[in-house]
Amino acid sequence: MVLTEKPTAAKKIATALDEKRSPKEVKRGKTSYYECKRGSDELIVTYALGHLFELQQVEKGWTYPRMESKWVPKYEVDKKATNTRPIINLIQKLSRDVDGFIVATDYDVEGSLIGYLVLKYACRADPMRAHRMLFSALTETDLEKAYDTRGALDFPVIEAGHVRHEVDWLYGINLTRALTLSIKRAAGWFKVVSTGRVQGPTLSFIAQREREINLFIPTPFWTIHVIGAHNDDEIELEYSRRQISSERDANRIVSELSGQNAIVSSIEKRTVTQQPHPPFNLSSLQAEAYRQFGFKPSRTLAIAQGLYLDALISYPRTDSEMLPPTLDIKNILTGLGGIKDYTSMVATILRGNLVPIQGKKTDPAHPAIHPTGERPIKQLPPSDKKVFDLIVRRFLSLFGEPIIKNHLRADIKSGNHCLYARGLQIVRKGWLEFYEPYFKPEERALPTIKVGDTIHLVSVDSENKYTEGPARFNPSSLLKLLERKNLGTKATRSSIVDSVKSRGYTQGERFELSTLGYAVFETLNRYVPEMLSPEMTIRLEVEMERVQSGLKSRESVVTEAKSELLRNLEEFKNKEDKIGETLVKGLQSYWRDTEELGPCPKCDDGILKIVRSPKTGKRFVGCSNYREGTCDQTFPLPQKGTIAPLDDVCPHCSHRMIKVISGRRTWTTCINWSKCPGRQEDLKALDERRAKRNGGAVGGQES
Amino acid sequence: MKECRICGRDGTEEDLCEYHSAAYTSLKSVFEKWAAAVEELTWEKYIDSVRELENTGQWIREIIDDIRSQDDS
Repeated sequence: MVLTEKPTAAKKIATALDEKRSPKEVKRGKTSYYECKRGSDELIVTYALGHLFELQQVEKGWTYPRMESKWVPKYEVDKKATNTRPIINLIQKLSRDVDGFIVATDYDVEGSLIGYLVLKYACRADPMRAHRMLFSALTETDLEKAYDTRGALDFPVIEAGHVRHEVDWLYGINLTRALTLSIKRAAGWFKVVSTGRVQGPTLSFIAQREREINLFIPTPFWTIHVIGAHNDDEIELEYSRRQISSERDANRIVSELSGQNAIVSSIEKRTVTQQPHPPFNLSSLQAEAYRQFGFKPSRTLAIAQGLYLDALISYPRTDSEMLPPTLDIKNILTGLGGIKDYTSMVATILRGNLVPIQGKKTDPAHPAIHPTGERPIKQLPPSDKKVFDLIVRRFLSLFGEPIIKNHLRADIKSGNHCLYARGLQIVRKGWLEFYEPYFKPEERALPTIKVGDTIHLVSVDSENKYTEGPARFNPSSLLKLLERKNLGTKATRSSIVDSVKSRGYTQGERFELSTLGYAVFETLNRYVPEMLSPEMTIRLEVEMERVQSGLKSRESVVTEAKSELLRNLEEFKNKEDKIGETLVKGLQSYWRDTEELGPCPKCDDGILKIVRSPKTGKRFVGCSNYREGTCDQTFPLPQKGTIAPLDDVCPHCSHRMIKVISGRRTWTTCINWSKCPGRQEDLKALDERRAKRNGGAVGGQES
Repeated sequence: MKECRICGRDGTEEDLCEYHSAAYTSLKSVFEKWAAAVEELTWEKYIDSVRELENTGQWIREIIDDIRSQDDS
């Protein structure tokens, strides 16, 4: 029995291992498995759906501390995971009549653990007697090789996965329950407020950046703009100091240069070569996809995972920036040459030296992300096509010549002042020929001047500017920070980045800390700062890596984690009342900020609030006196996106304004948009657009 | 412990929370830098200019509004 991680992988693996490349799919209710033949081996290929088993607490009660857990089928923990039940049952049944087991899940910590848990809890097999296929791409060649060279299970890797799950479970449920129950005790509400081992430090980074932004005071500086005349040409010149820190100095420079002549004292030409960027690992792919397409890291990972399952690229969860010498580059290039968009580029590369540029980072399990050379068998969706093209072009660029650029700088003197004229010339495009859509250095011609020429300074101005504050995190920069701080793993970071947003701790595309985020951060920071400390998490990460290297036992790491957590929880318990009060205050303020829209215009003593209909689940604005039956004022709301009440009122109807954020689009409107006299034109246009598209956002002015 | 007169958080000193207290300290210390850069700068002109700038932090804006309202009263 071959155990795979997903249905798509099962099909690929079964096809690759079957002698005739035509395995038989056997349907069993809602699930299935594959039968194939390879030499004298008769193989059954089954699949999981990621994790089929999850941790569940042993002791009863929704309280804390809870330190003991056991592995149970996922459907027992997650009520939505009903699709795992028939799969576990099928594997259980089939496993009774097989001679041996081969784990062919993804070659990483999670994949190894998934396979181990299925073996242990579904097949009831002895993992010591099972085999492991190791592969970095789902191509037939790679899979056949992995089958022929299969070895024993990698137990330290399994233990590392095991310890990570246990520690994350311990921290996640205990800290979340501690926070939630403190609110219940203080106010009697049941509002789940979550935190976790990595989420706490992540929130802390965002709060620290928010503090810097909120305390930022721009300081003034001046820049000097000079236009010179040479023959009949106007030349834009740079002043040697980019920033002048005082108005007096800026004025003096302007007055000393205005109307003067300047002499070209030297022209320097610097030729530089630029090597291709290294091959992608997961984080550099995520950063580039965010820069080029605006894709969130989690989206890029999901797309890359899909491309991997289609055997179009190698395994994406890798830290490596290196391609191994054993990789059949010629074969990959030949395959890519069959794709129309790359045919001519590949032909050029195949004429040259097939030695790729390598990066520095390594990964013991997988090479850098690269195309496999297989052609997509169906038309890829636009997003997948973009990521695939990015990966292919990055791969092709590794074989390109370095770019050669000439940087030209003319030094122009006038009295004690120095001015520059600059130019940039690309002498050889090199690897840019392959990667050009994603990297464009701007060429600028150097004016036709020579040493000794006189330039008349016809216009000299100063411009008052101000320093800019620190930027908020975007998904890519936050992910990079977590990687730099060694928090989480390449597989978990993007979901952690998503979680701070989905839990309401931040708002907007740019991770602006919400009132709720502040409340949670401030409370933890004041009473139990250890829960926000990256040091504790980083220390645990190091310990978990030691488990993977076989240097430490899982039991000792879990025991240490438990005793540290118990200490924190005890401290928390002692301050539970105060923590609860602070969180309740924060939550009230959060709800005021996000749900309240000021006094009701109809009854005057009610407050307008964003509420959801218990019947339809749709949101609308309603008066707080509605329940008492004394006011029936309501306003409809757009159903898609996030709504943020604004302080402004509508200039047309004096109702409160709201901001609607849906994906990357943001627009403002008033709560009375359906009847507002100033918005009827917009509504008409919207109706027309809807008629065309049969869908879309509601009302308001897009910005 | 007094509440912050600006945001209602728990105050530390002079009925300001730690954020608005830090904003006030920062506003005073950056004035020197501004005074060295801008000719004939008064405190009032300084806070007016800072208040109008797009990148000025939220807590700085709020402490400036508070200073102005106290000056008015």
